[in-house]
Order: sequence, then C-alpha cells, then structure tokens
Amino acid sequence: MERRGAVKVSNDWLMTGRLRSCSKLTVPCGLIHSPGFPLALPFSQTYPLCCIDIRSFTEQYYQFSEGFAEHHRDIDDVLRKALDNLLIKQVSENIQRRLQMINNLSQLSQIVVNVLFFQTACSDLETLLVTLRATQRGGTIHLDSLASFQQTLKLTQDRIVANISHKMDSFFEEAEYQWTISNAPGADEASGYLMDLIDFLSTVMMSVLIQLPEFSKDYVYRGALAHCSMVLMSYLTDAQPRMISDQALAYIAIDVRWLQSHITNLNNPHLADVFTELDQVSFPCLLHWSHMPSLTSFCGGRLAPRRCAC
Amino acid sequence: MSQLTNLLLTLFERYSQLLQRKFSSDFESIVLGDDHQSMVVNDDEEYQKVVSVSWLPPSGEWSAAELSK
Repeated sequence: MERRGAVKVSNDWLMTGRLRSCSKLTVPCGLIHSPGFPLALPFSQTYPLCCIDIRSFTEQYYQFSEGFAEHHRDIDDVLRKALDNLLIKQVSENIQRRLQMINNLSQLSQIVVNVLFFQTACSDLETLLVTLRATQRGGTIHLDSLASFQQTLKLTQDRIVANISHKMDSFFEEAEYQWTISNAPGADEASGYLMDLIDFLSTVMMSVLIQLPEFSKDYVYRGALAHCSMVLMSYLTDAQPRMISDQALAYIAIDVRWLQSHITNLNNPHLADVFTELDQVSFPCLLHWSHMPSLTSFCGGRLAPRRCAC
Repeated sequence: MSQLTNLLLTLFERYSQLLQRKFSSDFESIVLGDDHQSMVVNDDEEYQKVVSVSWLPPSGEWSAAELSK
C-alpha cells in the first residue's frame, strides 16, 4: 500500500544502533514477508522509534535485576509503573499537547492512526511483561497507559471535528436566508451554500481523512454533521433571528429534507439519525405551512430556546 | 547478606531513576520531533527492521501479513 504525499524518511535512525540489544524482544524476521518498495507504512516514524525505546528500556531494567531474584516481584512492579509513567507522561500527554498546535487535517489523522498503534502496543506490552517477569506468578498485568491513549484518541478525533466545523462555519456565513420573506419557495431545491458545504465535507472525508479507519471516520463524519444540524437548529431556537416567517421556515425545512435524503443515500447506520430531531422540528412547516398554525405563532413569535416542543 | 541486598535495591532504585530520566527525554524528543507523515521504507532491510520492532495488530489491514502485500 503506497500513499501519495508520503514523505521519504531518512533511515539514519535505523543505523544508529537504536536496534542494539533488542534481540530477545523482537519478532523473528523469518515470519515477515517482503512487500514492494518504496512502501508507505500506516504510522509515522514516532511509532517504531518509541517501540524501540520501550523494548530497550524494558531490557535494560531486567539486565540490572539479574542476580537478585528474590526481589524480582518489586522489580516487576517498578518496571510496570515506570513504563506506564513514561507512556502516559512522555508519549500520550505530549501528543495531546501537540494537538493544540496542529490544524492540518492530514497530520491530525496521522496522529489518530499512531495512537491506535500505541493502543496495540499497550495491549501487547501487558502480555509481554507477564512473560518477561522474573517470578512466574499468575495473574495479568494492567497498564493505565491504554486508558490514556484512548483519551488521546478521543481528543484527536474531537480536534478534527472542531477543525472541520470551523471551516463549515464559513459556509454558514454565506447562507442567505431571508427570515421575514413572504414568498413561498418555488421549488424543492436546497440552498446553494448547503450543497457546497456537503460537497466540501464529502471531499474531506474521501481525501485527507482517507487513512482513518472506518469507526474513526464515522465518528468524525457524525460530529461534523451534528455541527451542521446544531447550527440549523440554532436558527430555530436561538434569540436571533427574532422573527421567522412561515415561508422562511419552509426554506429551512426544504434544506433539512435535502440533508436527510443525502444522509439516507450514504446508507451508513452510524449517521442515519443525525438530522432526525431537526427534521422532526422543521418538517411540519413544509407539509402544511400555508394551512396550519405556524411553529412561530405556536411559540409566540419564535421557537422557545432549545428543543421547542412544537 | 541483607545489607548487600539493601545496597543492591538502593542501587537499583538509583539505576531506575537514571533510566527513566534518560528515556523520558528520549520519548519526549521523539514525539515532539514527529513530522506526522507516513513513514516510507525503501527496501526490504528497512522494512524488516521496522516491522520486527513495532507491535502490530494480529489481524486487519495493519497486521504484518497485510502490510507486506
């Protein structure tokens, strides 16, 4: 698997002796088949470099402890705590700190992938530490760093959603709803800005975020669409605009219908209900806006703040 | 004997602190120096080295079996 835009990384680190003395802890090379080259790996260089350090750190711990077996129980616990501390403080939390400085979606999705690999490493380390421990007592070893990486994963995905939402806001700035319009919509066509916004979002999901695993893509996609739903809902429930005509509500209802049908066409159960609440609020305006008491008159000029019961 | 054991444990604690300090700065510089871009390996030797040290999931598109396709 080769990806465009992948950067050729100097292999200096491979030659600098970082791989020294890790032989007992590494996978036998005979088990691995060779692909075509050059090959872009899913993770960035941070991951294998940290793996080497984790192996080296573990090995150096046990090198010292050889010779006084009666205290190995303490040494096992000291090693586990030290490793946990290093992974949480120096890896996971440093990744979290760097997140605040990164706005590039491609780089953020690379961090998601890296963090998922670190989660794999934590799980494998828990098993490895059991086999390495000097006193062959039973029981499992639990690393708290796994929970820390899960938190980092969530923060990274939320950062991606916030970044996309920020860009989506610029599309909403182009929205030209006329809140007191008296002419009914002539056609069932959605607003241009909204179609552009959805085009933008689809493109982002299929291009810069392509390397995300499906569950992560679903999380981000749903988060971005929920932001879209929240902004549209805010038109109906917030203090501004103060007045919305029945006809203007019908324009919004048409837009929401279009969004709903777009989501239906995506055929993704994780996204299916993201506009449901908004649709339930706005759809009655579309059905009978000229015949029924309007939502606005029900609610005394505008919908009640937050989740109007109409 | 117990004095020797105590000495060894004290030495071990000191060794542990030094080891953690050394690796703390190593990990920090690795994470802060990341370019956040896919790592590219250019030949089989590099590939084998990276895959032999990195923990990979046992199955799925990121497993060693799939990466090598």
